Amino acid sequence: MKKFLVLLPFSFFVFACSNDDENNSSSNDEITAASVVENYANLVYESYSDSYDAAVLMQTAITTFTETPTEDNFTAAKDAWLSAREYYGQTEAYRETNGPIDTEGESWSIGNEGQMNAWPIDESYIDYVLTGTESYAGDYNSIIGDETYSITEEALAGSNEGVDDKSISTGWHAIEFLLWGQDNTAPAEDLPGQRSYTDYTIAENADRRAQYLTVVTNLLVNDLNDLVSTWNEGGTYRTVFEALDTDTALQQAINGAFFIAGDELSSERMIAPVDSTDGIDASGQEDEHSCFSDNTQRDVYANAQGVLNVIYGSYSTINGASFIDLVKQTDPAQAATLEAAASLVATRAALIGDNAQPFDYLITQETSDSTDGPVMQCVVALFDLANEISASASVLGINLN
Amino acid sequence: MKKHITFIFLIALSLFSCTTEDDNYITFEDLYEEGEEFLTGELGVNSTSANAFGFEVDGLTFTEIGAFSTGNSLFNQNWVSAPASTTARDGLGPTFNARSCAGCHFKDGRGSPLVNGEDSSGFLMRISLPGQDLFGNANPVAGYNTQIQDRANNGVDYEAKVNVTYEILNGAYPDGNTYELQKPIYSFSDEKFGSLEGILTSPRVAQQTIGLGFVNALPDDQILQFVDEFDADGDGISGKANYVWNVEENTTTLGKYGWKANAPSLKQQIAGAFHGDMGLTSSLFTEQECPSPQQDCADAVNGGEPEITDSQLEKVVFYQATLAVPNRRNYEDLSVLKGKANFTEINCIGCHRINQTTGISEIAAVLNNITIKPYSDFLLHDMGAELADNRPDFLASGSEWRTQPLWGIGLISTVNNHTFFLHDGRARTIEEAILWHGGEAENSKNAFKELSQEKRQQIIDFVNSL
Repeated sequence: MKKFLVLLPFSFFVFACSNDDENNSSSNDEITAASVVENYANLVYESYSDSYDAAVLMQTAITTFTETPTEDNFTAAKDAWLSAREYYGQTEAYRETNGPIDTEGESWSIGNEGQMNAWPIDESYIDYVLTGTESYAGDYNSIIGDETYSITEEALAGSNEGVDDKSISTGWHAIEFLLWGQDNTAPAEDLPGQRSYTDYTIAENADRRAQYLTVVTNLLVNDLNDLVSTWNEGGTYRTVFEALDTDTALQQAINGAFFIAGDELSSERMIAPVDSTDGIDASGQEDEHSCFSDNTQRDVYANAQGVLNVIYGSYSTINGASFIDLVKQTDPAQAATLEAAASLVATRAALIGDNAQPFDYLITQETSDSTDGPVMQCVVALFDLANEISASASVLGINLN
Repeated sequence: MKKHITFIFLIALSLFSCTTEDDNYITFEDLYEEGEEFLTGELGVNSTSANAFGFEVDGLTFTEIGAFSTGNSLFNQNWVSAPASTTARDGLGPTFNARSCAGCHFKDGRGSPLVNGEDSSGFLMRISLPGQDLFGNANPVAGYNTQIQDRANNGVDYEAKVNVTYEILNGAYPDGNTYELQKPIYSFSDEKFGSLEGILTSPRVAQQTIGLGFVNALPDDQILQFVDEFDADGDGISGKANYVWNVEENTTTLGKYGWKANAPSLKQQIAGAFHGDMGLTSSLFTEQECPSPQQDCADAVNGGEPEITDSQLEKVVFYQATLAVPNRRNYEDLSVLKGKANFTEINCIGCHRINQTTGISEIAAVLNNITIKPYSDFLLHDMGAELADNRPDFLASGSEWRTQPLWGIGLISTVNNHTFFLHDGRARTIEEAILWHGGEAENSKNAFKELSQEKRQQIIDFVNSL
């Protein structure tokens, strides 16, 4: 903390020249903060690009399904959603970085995180549910059921979180619900939601449902496109980011990984569901991230992988100067501790991601005051990693909180 | 001694602004105080995202983070009417204002003013008859008690609907610039249990819920140090403590929370909100909120006794107590730094106080002994006739309000997508909120109006940096 105090006012004045100075040291193997930051920007762009491309494939599959609603096309649409989630989940490590996805009020802000990935959702806000399973059921007219509601991108975007923060109308989980439907099966049955493709053929409001699915998918694709554009070389935020003081940029970048490991994934997405397993039918369905598709274990895995991507500066074809390289240069012992913590997270996240049992079953087997099961074991590893990210940042004179 | 220091400081400040009429002479180094951006010491967060109010303070133990996470979940979760398959979350109502805490405190943020015909998102109306009950609380209204529950479960009548119209008040600054304030005028319709004509009313919007654990951990003397009930120092500002009924301690203690400082502890504030706003009983408030003659309400199935268990209540209390205060933004901007000097110069700081120190927190040890900058003295002040609701609340008169802490205020637009301020959200901007200040704040308000437009903007920039 003390270091941060001194550093910030100082860098406030010297801002303009710090970038240039640090770029001049490329002759030997020395890693500079500037090169880590540059590689990070490439990493962000590449992973948003992949996420966008996968979402476009999903959009194509969904179009095929809505034009020709068959069982096979329905399955293909669901498979495309699952595949696209593998990419998006990794990009969550770019949240809470004072970047465009969740910052408001700046000229470069996009602020579309809630529009893309808000959860848990009150699905009866969107469409029919089994009576008695949701708080709005019975006295709330769903958007699909309300024929006076004109389903457009603007309208759905305007309705998102329109009543409270569970009244979600857009994003991954709205699409997920429209593809899978409520998961009313017992966790031990290892089944996701059982929506029939006939919801898009002969069921009541089939046309409106198909229209909703199309529009909400377009909205997500557009949102991802906005992120790709802004992070592209010469893009609006990329330009802002590259002009930041290097230490500030590095601090913001690593803060995203710190946030996902120490907070969003570990606390919000794992401890809370473990502790609240008495949701619907005492099954905790409501508090798991992808509760309709039973894909939460992959969310956990992808989120953790996103954290590791930032630490190691590597993703897909990107492999450059990294945070851990920089730490190693200053304090090899701390880098080794960080690496051990990261490696444990990789192992434990894989134990969940590749588990034969779905997440909604795993959480019914655990409580948050015991750390014996795979979910809480992963939480422990993530907390430890967050602490090591913070300690490593301190080594570089960067305060995270 | 304190007064002496303030006096010298004010002189120094006014010298400052005279001798340096050319503002270019005022530099960052002159105005920036080391660490001023940290409103809660090292426990603040740097987030500027829509989730900026949703983070826990640093330094919680593993078990505490678990409690925070579960409390967060309970805070966000919609409660449902009993009987339901979700036994842990049933018991909503029978009458209520919101289904979840987050229904009013969206993302731990601030509610919006009433919109006619829409279910409220963070607005409620307190009501009473003149006089006090046995505990010093406002006298209940027959058939309704002390709050209008405008929603109800299926098969049960809600109590009434509240409506609002606005009267436009035009004003002008001495420099000729004009402004417009909107004064809300409330009425009732659809009263199900008798006329509400002529009763006392107090409209309220939900406050952001950051930093509450620090307030809970403030020893009484940290608040009482600013009491000057009869304005003995003659500065035009009094400061009065509210003493209110403490349900757990079964006695009267210092009020700390709410628009009128009418709740003595965080636990009672939260249990009161569960009870009054959501219709959930707890060990503090065991009776269903169904005053006679609301028979359908009284006959409705409940969700257990109590509906919210002590363990659940404690986790929500823990969660609320450990929500962090965001560190300031843009604190190094020259405009903000000048705004800070202006803020002090026109004595906004006389009520919006800083530098209190917490004692021992019974909720989380990490909150112990922290010097905080809430920009509030947490005392009651007469705010003048224009803001008055004319409804007493324990020792608070109908024109007295508790100083609202300003920490986090600049992020409300990010978290909640609006900038509605004051107790019923009537001010549409920070500027309007300042202009509504009257009574003990009249001098500061008038001094604000006398400032140049540039200096007024600097104050607004400063407030937005908090």
